[in-house]
Amino acid sequence: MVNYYVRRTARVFVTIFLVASLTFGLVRLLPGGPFTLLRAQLLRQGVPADEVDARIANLQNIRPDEPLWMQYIDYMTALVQGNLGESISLGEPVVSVLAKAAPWTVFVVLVSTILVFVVGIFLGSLQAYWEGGRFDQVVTGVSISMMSLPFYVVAVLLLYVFAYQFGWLPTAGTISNSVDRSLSLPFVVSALKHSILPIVSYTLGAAGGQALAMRGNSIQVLGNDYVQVARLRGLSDGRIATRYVARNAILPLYTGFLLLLGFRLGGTVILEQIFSYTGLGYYMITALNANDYPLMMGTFLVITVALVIGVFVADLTYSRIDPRISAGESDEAY
Amino acid sequence: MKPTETDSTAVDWRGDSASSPDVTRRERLKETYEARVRTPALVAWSDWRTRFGLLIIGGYVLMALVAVLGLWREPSTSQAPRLLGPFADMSYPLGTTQSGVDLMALIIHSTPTILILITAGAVWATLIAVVIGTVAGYKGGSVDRGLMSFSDLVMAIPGLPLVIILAVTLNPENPVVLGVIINISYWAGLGRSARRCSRSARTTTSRRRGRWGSARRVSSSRTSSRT
Repeated sequence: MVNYYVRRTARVFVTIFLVASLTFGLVRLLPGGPFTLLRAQLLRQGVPADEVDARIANLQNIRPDEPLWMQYIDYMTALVQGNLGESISLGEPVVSVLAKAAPWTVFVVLVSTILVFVVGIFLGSLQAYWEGGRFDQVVTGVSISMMSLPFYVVAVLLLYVFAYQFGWLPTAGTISNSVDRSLSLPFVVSALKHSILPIVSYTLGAAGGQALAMRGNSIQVLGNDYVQVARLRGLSDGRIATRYVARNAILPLYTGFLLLLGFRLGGTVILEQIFSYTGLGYYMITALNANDYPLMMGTFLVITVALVIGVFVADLTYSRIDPRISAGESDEAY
Repeated sequence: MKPTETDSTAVDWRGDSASSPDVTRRERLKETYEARVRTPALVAWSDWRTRFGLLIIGGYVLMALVAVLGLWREPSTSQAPRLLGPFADMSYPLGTTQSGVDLMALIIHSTPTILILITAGAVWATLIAVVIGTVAGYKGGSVDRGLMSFSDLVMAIPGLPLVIILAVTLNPENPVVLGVIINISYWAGLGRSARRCSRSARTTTSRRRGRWGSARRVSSSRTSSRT
């Protein structure tokens, strides 16, 4: 029991540590060093060399003249203290940029992922219940078509129809400019209005996939002996459906949760670009276009941390659904 | 499955290839072709999904061939009137861009590179997944745990941002390298299923006392008891 939680917790730190090291390695690897250009530029402008070095050190917590291991330790200590350097293009500390952006991304990803699971599991179990019927056929067809349509295509279509043609929903941003950034009714309404399209376009295709998976699992579970035995024991249909079938059919979906969450957090890079939704992904592309390496690496780190925490929470809840896991009978958490 | 069953098939298999002199190598090859290539292909072909998939792939290959054989003009600026709509002028079926580049030419001439890229990525992901999955599933024990922890770590890195960062850093020009980078962490999920397959295959073979005999049975009894 303890062992399981300790292992999961250790994995969180190991992953974050490795990714932080990776960003350090990449910053060092960057073509000619990311700051060579900036340095040359500043020197040409007549800024004294000491000051240039100090500014660059400030940008990425790296002093170019120190030995590599010192740089590494400096970099990691700064990260632990929550210092991600300073954004070159925005002239702000990376942390404060990302602190403003992260809640929006987390909001969209969280809501849409929960919707994906709820809708997928609901539709999938109904399909399995009426296997081969009209409902099953229609939903399967719709699910397959939704799955084969990438979410960004759906996003562009929805944006075109509902925002540009009908004008029902805003085309860009997280909230409208006229609204105060404080927790009040207009703020919530505005935030919801701005997030409907991203969430819907991010939910549709994935929900179809989950529904199909849930359908397949349920049908497989329904064929098991213990379901037959439960029927013979005269248990109610509701109890069989929830305790025997649904619980076992959901397990493999949880297994795919890690991949799904990683894919979805990463996908915000595209999604937020389409809706100009100023979340993490949006800033990643901004940083990319501006050659803003500190912001880019910072965004990458924060997205990774968000994913790792999400997976950690999933792990902890997974043992609630499947008691075998925390009892240590199986190594396979996902 | 009973152990005697497989023994008898093993004898049959050997008898077929070694002891009967009237079976020539050519016939044996033909037989293998029948069993391994033709029959599965026929079965696959009978499913409309296979045909549809092959049709799509065939379309791309055809496009690549057109580009390789030089049957369509190369894309270049101001080769056509600007901003033609699709199907407005049938010599530029898909229309043209702002700078007067034929869109059809752009699509056709990017296809060979894209095909190389996709193949490189697929080969990379499958190769790594099969190697890691099989080794983990076959060896079991601490090797298994180590490899699986590693693939969990890789899975826990968000894919698209990682690809973006790597692409910016390494700035690859070669389509093969680009394909590998795009699929850099794709093997992690695939490796798990490879491991599951090799593990179940391994427990069955050890139970059947297959061709590898008893050499690894000691450790296998441990892994199979865990599953």
